[in-house]
Amino acid sequence: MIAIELNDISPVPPFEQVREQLERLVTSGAVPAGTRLPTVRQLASDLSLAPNTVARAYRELEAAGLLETHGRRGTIVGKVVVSESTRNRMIIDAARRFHDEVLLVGGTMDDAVRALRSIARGVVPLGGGSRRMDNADELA
Amino acid sequence: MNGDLMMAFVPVLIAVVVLWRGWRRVESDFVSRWKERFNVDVPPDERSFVVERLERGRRVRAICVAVGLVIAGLPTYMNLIDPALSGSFANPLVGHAWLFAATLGALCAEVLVIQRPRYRKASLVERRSRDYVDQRFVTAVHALGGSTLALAALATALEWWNWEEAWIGVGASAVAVASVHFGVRAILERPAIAVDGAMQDLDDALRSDGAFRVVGAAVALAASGLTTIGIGNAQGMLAIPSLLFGLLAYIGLGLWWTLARDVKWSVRQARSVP
Repeated sequence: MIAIELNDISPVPPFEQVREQLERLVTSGAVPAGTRLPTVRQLASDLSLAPNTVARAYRELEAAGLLETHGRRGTIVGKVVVSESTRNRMIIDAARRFHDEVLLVGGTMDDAVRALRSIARGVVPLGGGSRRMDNADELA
Repeated sequence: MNGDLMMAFVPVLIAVVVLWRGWRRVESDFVSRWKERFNVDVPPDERSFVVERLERGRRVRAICVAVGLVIAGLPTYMNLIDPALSGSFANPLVGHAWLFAATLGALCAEVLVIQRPRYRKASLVERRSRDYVDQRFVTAVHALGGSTLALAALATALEWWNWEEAWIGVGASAVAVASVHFGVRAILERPAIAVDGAMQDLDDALRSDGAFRVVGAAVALAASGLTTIGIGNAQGMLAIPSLLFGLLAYIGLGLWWTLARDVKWSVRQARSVP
């Protein structure tokens, strides 16, 4: 089941969370082109958000060429060609999320960079989140 | 006078019986039939949630039908107060008040549901009307409404008998079509309790139950609306369609009963159809 989830303790505003998750799902191909997305009202009620918040996320993704709105036929996932700028923005978004979460658990930028390097080298397996951040240096 | 008093008492008595039946507890065998009807499981710890929702819906519908029945008895009350005025209340609008109220009751039972999502998680699968209710009956409500409007216009143009009453039928059809529209919309836009598993099935079954009740009542109201065209006095060749029109109201009531109680609808299967 493909779903999006809001993190209540994240400092990222709900609108950004919706947009980022939708963007990631569409550009990764998890939601294929031609898929009809839920209506703004449905998504807003399921996430306990105001319809305008979801509508804004849809509008921005439409402007980025990821979604197409066809009047009564609803919002459909468009054929995705990820541009350089979209890719860069997605990397920055992911980095921002990571940065925010590191700060939230009391980590520093050095901890974050060390952890990223460790993951890139495959020292910390993906999903190995239970390891403490201060072990990252030792692992690297 | 005693006879008139008895006549005035009947609608009130029926309304009391409806309220009494509407306030009954939802028993285990009802839940078992409901599970079978929608092909879902009710986990023991969610049973009270389902029972509460079914009971609340039943009560809202019962209140509305009871109010409608009391209104439908207006001519009999007026007969006690001033018999000369009684006739002016004996019209199809007052006569069908219970059916209007039943349709609006089914709508209210869905609109008044307050359901908060348990998690801030949303599926990216769109909820469609056809996932919850057989679309043939939604089409039937629209077709009956369209036919009523066309016949009322024709009756007005040709100055058929009781053509004024035909517009009460148009009003009934408009209420039926609007109830389906707003009822299904409320059902689709209600927040989901879960995005997968048994809870999603339960949530969908509750939506489907409500949708069938709204559409069922709307079919009955729209069918009765068509019969108010007033072709009942027709003679000659028009006597045959008049007979069919008369039957239509009973067919509508029968369909309502079937749709609201007996029709089987696997929510899982409906959801899987692309």
